[in-house]
Amino acid sequence: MRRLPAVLVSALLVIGCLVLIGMQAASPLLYSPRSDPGVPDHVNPAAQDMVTGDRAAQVLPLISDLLNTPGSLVLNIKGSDFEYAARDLQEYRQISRQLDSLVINLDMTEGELNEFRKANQQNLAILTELFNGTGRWDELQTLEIRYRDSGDSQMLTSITYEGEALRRRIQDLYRDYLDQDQVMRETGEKFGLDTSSYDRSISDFREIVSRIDENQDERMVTFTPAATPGERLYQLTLTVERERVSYMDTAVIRGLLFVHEKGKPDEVDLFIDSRRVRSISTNPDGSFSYSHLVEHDHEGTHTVFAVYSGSVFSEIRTFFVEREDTYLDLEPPVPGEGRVELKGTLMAGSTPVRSAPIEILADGKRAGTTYTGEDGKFSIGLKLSSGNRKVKVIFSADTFPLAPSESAVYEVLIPTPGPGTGNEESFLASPLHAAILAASVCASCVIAFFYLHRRRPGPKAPAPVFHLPGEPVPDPNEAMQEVLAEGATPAGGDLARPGDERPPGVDAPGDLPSLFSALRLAVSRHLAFLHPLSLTPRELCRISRDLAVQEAVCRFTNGYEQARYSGAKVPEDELDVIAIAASSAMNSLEGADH
Amino acid sequence: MMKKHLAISALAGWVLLVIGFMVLARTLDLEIFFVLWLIGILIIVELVSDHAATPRYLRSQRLVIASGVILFGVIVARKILEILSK
Amino acid sequence: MPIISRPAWIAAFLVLFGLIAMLSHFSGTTLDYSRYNPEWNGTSRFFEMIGEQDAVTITRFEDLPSHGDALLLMPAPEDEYREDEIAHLVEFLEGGNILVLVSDREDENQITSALGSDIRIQHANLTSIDRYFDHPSSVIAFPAGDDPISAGIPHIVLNRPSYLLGGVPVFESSLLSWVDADGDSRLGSEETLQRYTVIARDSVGEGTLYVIADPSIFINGMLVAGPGDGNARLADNIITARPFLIVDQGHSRTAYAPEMIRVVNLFKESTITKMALITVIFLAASLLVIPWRRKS
Repeated sequence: MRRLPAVLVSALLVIGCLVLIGMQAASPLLYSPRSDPGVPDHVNPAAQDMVTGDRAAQVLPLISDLLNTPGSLVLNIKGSDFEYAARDLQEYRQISRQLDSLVINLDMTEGELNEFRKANQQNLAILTELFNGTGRWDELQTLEIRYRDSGDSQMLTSITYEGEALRRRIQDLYRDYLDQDQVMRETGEKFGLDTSSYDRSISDFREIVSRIDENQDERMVTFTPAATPGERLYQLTLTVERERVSYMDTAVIRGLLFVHEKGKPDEVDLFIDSRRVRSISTNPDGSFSYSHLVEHDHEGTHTVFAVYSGSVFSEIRTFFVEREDTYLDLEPPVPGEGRVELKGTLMAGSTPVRSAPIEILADGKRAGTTYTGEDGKFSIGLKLSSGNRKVKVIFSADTFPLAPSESAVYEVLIPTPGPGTGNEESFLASPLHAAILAASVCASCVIAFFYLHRRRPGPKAPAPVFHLPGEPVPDPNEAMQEVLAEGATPAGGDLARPGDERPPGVDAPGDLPSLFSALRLAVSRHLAFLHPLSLTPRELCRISRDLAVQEAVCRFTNGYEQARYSGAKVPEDELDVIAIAASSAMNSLEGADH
Repeated sequence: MMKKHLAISALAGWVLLVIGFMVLARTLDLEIFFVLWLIGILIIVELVSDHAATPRYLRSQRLVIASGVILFGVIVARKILEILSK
Repeated sequence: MPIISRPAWIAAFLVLFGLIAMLSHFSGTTLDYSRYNPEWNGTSRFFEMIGEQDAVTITRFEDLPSHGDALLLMPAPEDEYREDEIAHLVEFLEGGNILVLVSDREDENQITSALGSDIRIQHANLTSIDRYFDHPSSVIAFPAGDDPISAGIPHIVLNRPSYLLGGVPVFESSLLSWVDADGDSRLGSEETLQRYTVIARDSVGEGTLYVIADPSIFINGMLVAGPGDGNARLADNIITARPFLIVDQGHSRTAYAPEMIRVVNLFKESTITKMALITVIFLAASLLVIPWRRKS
C-alpha cells in the first residue's frame, strides 16, 4: 500500500508527458532556425542562405560596354569598313543578350535598368538596319558606275529610286536613334560611366546621313530627264491621296499612264520602299489606283513609285506613317486551380488591333504569349504556381506603327491544386502512400515480435555420451587408476594446506575427491544427467537410487562425506572399504553400459 | 538492486545528453529524440538482462521497446513519404 | 546523521541540475535587442565587448561628464526624450565628445533636429542587389569617404535597414539599391536606383554626431556576418574611438528585461552576494561530507 501513491503519481506524470508529446506529434520539428525566420526589425541570419555568385558586379561592366560599342560600330560603318563593322555588330548583339538575361536573373524587369535595356534593344535594331542599309548603298554606288558606263538608263533610274528610298529610311533611322539618346545618356551618367563614345556615335551617324543625302541629291540632279519640248515630263504620273496616314488607314495611290506600247499589257508595277507590291491593270483611259492598307509598315517615310514595262518610271512620291497610341485593356483575371484565365482587348484609338502578339507577365517574368483576333480581343488560360501573383499583359509593337502599351496590374490568388502534394495530414491520399505506410508498419511489427520471443543462447550443455557397440570405450578402470595416481600426489598437494602436518597413517584425502569425481561422472553418463558437477555426494546417492549399484554408491558417498566434511580422522580400513565400493560401482556401471 | 539503479541512471543520463546537444544545436526535433531514446533503451535493456533470464523489472520494458519499434516504423514511413513528395 | 544513500545522491544531483536549468532559463530572455538575450536577436555579445572596455552605463543624462574625450552610445532608443535630457546632450556634444545614435525609427529625428543637425532618419525598406544573404533586406554597405570609424572595414552587412538624409556620408549602399515602396522586393517602375546613406556624421559645436540607421548590425547573429567580420570591426572601432565609453541604458531597448532577470543579474553582478552564495554552498557540502567520514 505504501507504493500506491508513488505508482499513481508516476502514472499521472507518464500520461501527462505522453499527452504533451502526442500534441506535437503532427509536427515533430519543435524548433529550428528555419522556423524562427525573423521579426519585423531583422531577419534571422542563421536561417538564410548565402547568396551565390556576384551578379551585381556584372551590371556595371555590361552597361559600360553597351555604351561604348555603338561608337566603334558607327565609326566603322562611316569608314565603310564593313568587315570590322560586322564584327562589332556581332559583339554588340552578344552583349545585349547578356544584359537581357542578367536583367531577368536579377528580377529587375520593371525598373530603370529595363528602360535602358529596351533602349539598347532599339539601338541594336537601328544599327543593324543601318549596317545593312549602308552596305546596300555602297553596292548601289558600284552599280551606278557600271550602268553609267554601259548607258543603261533604266537600271540607273531604278538605282536612283532605290537610293531615294534608302535615303529616307536612313534619315528615319537617325531620328529613331536620337530618341534613345536621353535614356542611354542618363543611365550612363547615373552609373558614372563615360558617354563620350556614345556621343561620337551620334555625330558619326549624322555624318553618314548627310553624306548619303549629298550623294543622293547629286544622283537626283543628274537623273532628272531632259524635257523634250512638247512632251510631258513624266509619262507616268502618281499621286498619293494622303500625305500622313496611321494604322489601318488606307493610302490611296492614283496614277495616270500616258503612253501605250503596242503589244504590252497595260499593267503598271507599283513599288513601295523599292519593293514591288502589285501589278495594277490600268483602265482604258490609262488611270489606275491602289489602296494600300497601313498595317505592318513601320513608322516614318515611305517612298512609292510606279514603273511601266520596266522602262517608264513615275516620279517618287512619299507618304508618312504616323505612330498611334494603343490601349491594352485587361479584364480582372479569373483564377482557377493552378491556372488563371485572362481576357482583354487591344485598341488603337477606336480601331481594334488584329493579330498582335500579347505577352503575359506574372511577377515580372514572362509566362505566356497569345495573339489578338480580328476584333482585337484575346483570351488565354495560363498555368501558374499557387500563391499571390501579380499579372499584367504587354504589347510591344515591333512591326506595327503603334506605341507599345501595357495593361493594369492585377493581383490574383491562385489556390493550391487539390490534395496529393505530400501533405502530412493526408497520408492515405494515394495508394502508394498507404502501401508504404502499411509495409513499414508490418515490417516493424515482425521485428518487434521476433524481439519479444527470441531465445538467448546460453553456454552449451555437455551432451550425454552414449557408446555405440563396437566402439572402443575408454576403460573406466584405467581411467580410475589414472585418476587415482594423479589424485594421490598433486591433488593431495593442492588440497593440503602448506605447512599443515598430516598425521601419519591417514591416507591423503586426495584419493577420495578424485574417486568421487570419477564416480559422479560415470553415474551421470549412465543416467544421461546433464550437470554432473552440480551433484553433492547425497544427491549422487539419491539419483542412483534406481540403479543396481546404488548400495555401493551410497556406501561410498556416506564414507566420503564423513571423510571430507567431518574433519575427523578416518581410519585406513574405512577408506579402503570406501574406495572398493567406488570401484565396484564403477565396474558394474561399466558393465551395464556394455 | 544496484543494476536497476544503474540502468535508470544510464537511461536518464543518455536522454539528458541528447536534449543537451539538441539545445546546443538549436534544433529541437521530436523524431530524432524518439529514435535516439529507442536506441538508448534497447542497448541498456540488452546489457542489463542476463542471458538466462530477464529481471522482473525489465519484463514489461520489452513490450515498451516493441511498441517503440512499431512507432519507429511509422516514423520511417513518414520520412520516406516526405522525401518522395519533394 | 545517516549516510546519504546512493539514490538520494542521484536525486539531489537531478534537483541541482533542474535548478541550474531554471536559473539559466530565467537569466536569459528572448526580447529583441536585449543585452541579456544570448540568441541571434539579442545584443549580449555586443555588451560583452562593451564590458571589456570598462564602459559606464547611465540612465540619466545628468551624469554625463563634461571632459572632451568621451563617447556616448545610444543603442536602439525607444521612448521619447525630455527637453532637459536633450539639453544635457547638447552640452555634452559641445564639450567636444562623440554621440553615436543607433536607430532606424523616425522618432529619433526629434533628437537630431534638437541637436541642430540636418541628419534625418527615413524609415523605409531599403533593398539592394548587393546583398550578403539571399534575402532582399540583407544590404551590404560600403565606406564612403574617410572617417576614423570606417577605417579598415571593406563593407558591413545590414538587416532591414532604413536610410539617412543629410550629414556627411560615412557608409553608403551601392548604386544598385532602391527603396522597396510596394513591398514586392523587386525593382518596380516607380522605384529609382541610387546610393543611400546608412551611416552619416555631422558636427555639432566641438563634438561629432554619428547616426547609424540600422541597430540590427549589433545583434549577435549579425555581429559575425559577412566575410572579414565588418560589423564586429565597426563595433570595435566605435567602442574604442574614445577612452571613455558611456552607454545609455535609460531609454534603450537593449536594457529590456523582465523583472526576474533584473533580480538574477543583480545577484550575478554584485560581488558580495556572489561571495555569500559560495560560502553557503561550501557549508552545505561540508554538512554532506562530514557524517560520511565520521561513519567510516
